[in-house]
Parts: sequence; C-alpha cells; structure tokens
Amino acid sequence: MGAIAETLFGGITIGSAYIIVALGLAIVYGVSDVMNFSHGSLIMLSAYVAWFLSSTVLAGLPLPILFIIVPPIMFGVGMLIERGILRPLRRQPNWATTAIVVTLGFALVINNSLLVIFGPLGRYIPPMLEQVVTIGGFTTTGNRILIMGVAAALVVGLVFFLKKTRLGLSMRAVPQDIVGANIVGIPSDRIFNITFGLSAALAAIGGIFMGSIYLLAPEGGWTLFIRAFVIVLLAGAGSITGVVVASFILGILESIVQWQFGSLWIMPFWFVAFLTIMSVRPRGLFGIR
Amino acid sequence: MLSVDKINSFYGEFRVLYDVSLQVNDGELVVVFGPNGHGKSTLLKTICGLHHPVSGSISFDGKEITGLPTLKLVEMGVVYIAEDRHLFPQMTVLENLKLGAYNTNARSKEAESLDYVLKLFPRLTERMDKQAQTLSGGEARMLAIGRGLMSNAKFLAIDEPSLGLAPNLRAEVFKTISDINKAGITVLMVEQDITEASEYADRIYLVEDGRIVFEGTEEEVSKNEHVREVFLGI
Repeated sequence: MGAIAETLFGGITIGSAYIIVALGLAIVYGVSDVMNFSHGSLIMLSAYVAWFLSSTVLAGLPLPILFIIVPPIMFGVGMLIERGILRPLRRQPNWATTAIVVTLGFALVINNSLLVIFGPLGRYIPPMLEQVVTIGGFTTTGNRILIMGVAAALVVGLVFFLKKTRLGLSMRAVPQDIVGANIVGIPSDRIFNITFGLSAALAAIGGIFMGSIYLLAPEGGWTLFIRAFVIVLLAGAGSITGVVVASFILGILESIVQWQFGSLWIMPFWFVAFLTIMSVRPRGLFGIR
Repeated sequence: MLSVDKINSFYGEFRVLYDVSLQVNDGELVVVFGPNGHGKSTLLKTICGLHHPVSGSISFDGKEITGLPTLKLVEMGVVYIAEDRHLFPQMTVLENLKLGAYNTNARSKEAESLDYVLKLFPRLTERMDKQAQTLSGGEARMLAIGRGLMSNAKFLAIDEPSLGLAPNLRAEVFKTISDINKAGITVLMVEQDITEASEYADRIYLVEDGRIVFEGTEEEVSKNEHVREVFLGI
C-alpha cells in the first residue's frame, strides 16, 4: 500500500478522534452561544476520573465499563457547571464575553486541581483493543478502529437525536428563537442545562480514548481545547456536519504535514488552513448565523 | 374565563397601560382594536406572561395568574401567537408544528392536532419539509397560527394576525380564526383595522393611549359617535 494511502488513512483516524473531542464543544456553542474554554480540561478531567476508577474501584473489570460509568458522572458535572457558574451570568450584558472569562477560569481550576490531586506525573489508561489489525491492506490497532467506530456512532446518534426527538428539536429551537421557544413552552434554562450535561458526557467519551492514546497530564486539556476550538470555528456555529468535515480536513492535513515536514509543523499548517478557509467563508464551512 | 382587572404596565419609565380591565368569557371571540403603538400588544404580552404588570391582577379559569411565567401559562392552556411570529427559521414546517405540541397537555394529541391544523391550512401540507425561513408572509402567518393550535390551547391570544398580509389572505385568516373559535377555543385577538375583523367578533374593546375607551358589540361600535370618528374616520 502506498505511502499516500497510508497517510490518508492515518488522517482519517486522527480526524475521528478530533470529531469525538470537538462534538461536545460544538453542541454547547450551537445551543447556547458559549465557547466553553474549559472543554479540553473537562476531557482531561474525565480521563483522570476514568484512570482513577479503572485503577481503583473498577480494577480488574473490563475497560469498556468506563463508557457506562464515566459519561453519566460527567453529565452531572456539566449540569452543575451550567447551573453554578453560567446561568447566573446569562441575561447580563456582554454575556458571551463573560462566559469566556468564566469558563477560562474554570479550566485553570480544573487543571490545577488535577495537578494537586494527581501530581504532575503522566498517567495512562490501557488501550481497550490492543491487537494489531489489518484492514484492506492498512495496518492499524484495534483501538484506532474502535475510535472510528465510536466517532461514526456518535455522529449518527447525535444527528438522529437532534432531528427526531423532542429534546433534540428543542435544543435546535432555543438558539433559533428563544422567545419562540418560550411561547411554545420550551424551558430554555433546562435545555441549556441538559446541553451542558450532554457536552460533558461527550467530553467523557473523548477523555477515555485520550487516556488510552496519550499520557495524561494536568495541562493536557489545552492542546485538546485548541484543536476542538479551531474545528468548531471552522465547522460553523454548532454544525455537526461541519465538525465532521473540519475534523477530517485537519486530520488529513496533520497526517500529511507530519509525514512531509514533521510534527512541529502541524499547528502552523493548521492555522494557515484555518485562516484560508475562514477568509473565504467567515462563518465557517457550514455556518448560517 | 379570562379576567383582567386594572392592570398597569410600563416599559422602563414609559407607561403603556392605564388601569386596563377586560373580560373574555368561555367560548367567546373578543377583539381589541386600537391604533398602532397604543398598548394592544403589551396588553396581550402582559396576559401571556411575556411582560409583567406593575399593578393589577389577571385571572384565568378562576386562578390568579398575574406574574406567572409564560411556560406555566402554556401548561394551563393560555397560548400566545406573536405578531412577529417567532418561528424557528432553520427548522422545517413540520418541526415547527411538532414543537407547538411541546407542552405536556399537547403531546398525546400531537397527531390529532396536526391533522386538524393541516385541514385548516392545506397549503402547509405542500411545504412540510421546507424551512420556515423560506415561507412567504402568508404561509409564515399560517404556520404561526398552526403552531399555536398544536398546543391544545383553551385560550389563544393572537397578536395582529392580519399584519402584512394581502387583503384576500386577511379575510381567509380571520375566517379561520373564527372557525377555530367555533371549534371551542376561546380567542382574544388584537387588531389595528376594525373594518374587517369586527364582523367575526362576539365583543369588541377599543384601546386608545393605553386605556380601554369603549366596550360593546359590533352594532354598538358602529353607532358610537367617537368611535366612528377615531376608528372609522367617518
């Protein structure tokens, strides 16, 4: 198999991981207009929670159990964040800016708490599927296949949820016309609350995978956030399709840059791509608002 | 069914409603007429919990509802249909209608209500999969009324349903509202133009400068000297 095909396949794997990392950020941004600067830290927090559970209470149990336990915990954390630090600010002037400052501050609180509790040493969660597999001539790990599968399942599940369920429809309705939502009886505060819960639960899924690919570090959330941030802006306000397309563009670009120039050049190329696309489409690839 | 007692509403320092009282009985279609900017919309918004009065009280079905949030009122069957529609622009006609049935009283009757709405507005059937933002003014108005009907309301507060519509469509919309009323839903409607809508009204209120200046039937309206002068220009 040619090096180009290998590189493309690698890019799709990376893109899949980015989809998982960015979906939660995109949903909150789309529904509530809040760019949650603590999203990366929430992913890292989830990874630590997953690591802690898997090496203590859940030790010896099969790792996929983490997918059943960690997301609901983080769902609750997400709802608490919305209720505790964001709702009091909503309806105040400069809400979008204050939300950025508050979530940024919250990210620092999470990072430093992780540092205090778990120390600076890197931790890791063992991969769930360690065996090397060969599909259509591509050699990869079971874990990577799993990530692609989960990314696809999340995207399909979310699109179905947003188009076909009452709650999903409400989540789309609230940002389109909040007064309209009010007069049909949609409780927008509750919708925001659930959206944050859902976003944090998606961060949990990302965290479990991140912990099995990279070493966990208290500051590691920033790298994840920056990537998710670029993807969400490139995608256009809250667009799921946009997240998928942007993740694959940047994943494949990353893979090509790594192959040709080395990993130091990844971020410069990302930003060139970002600026180029945004100068042509200022609202992002699929942005409408 | 609805009783408004001496409400006073302000926008900031600006007083909009002065001791406004009105009654809507079960099954009635009551129309409030008045010139633009004289407090009609504020009156409806105050009844529907979108604006809160400084003093006075509002009761519905014998229960005090003054100051209750819109969400609670929708659950009680008081539904507001906005003059500026407040549709969900990037959602389809069907999705907009489905969300009309969001409240707990409406959910079990969603399919039934949808049939009813589409019978009233057959034109929406053809537009089912189109985004609301692609609709013409008339279609959007139909969708706004249709979405309100999906809520299984007992009481509809309709804000200027004819606004911006061509004359033939206006008559159609009034006729439909009258049909809705005959089907058992109590209606309080606000309108600027008294000539067209009054024939459908059981009773009429006239508002001027935030005060109720007249109350009566269509016949009484046409006999009243002041009303003829101010509202009919004759």
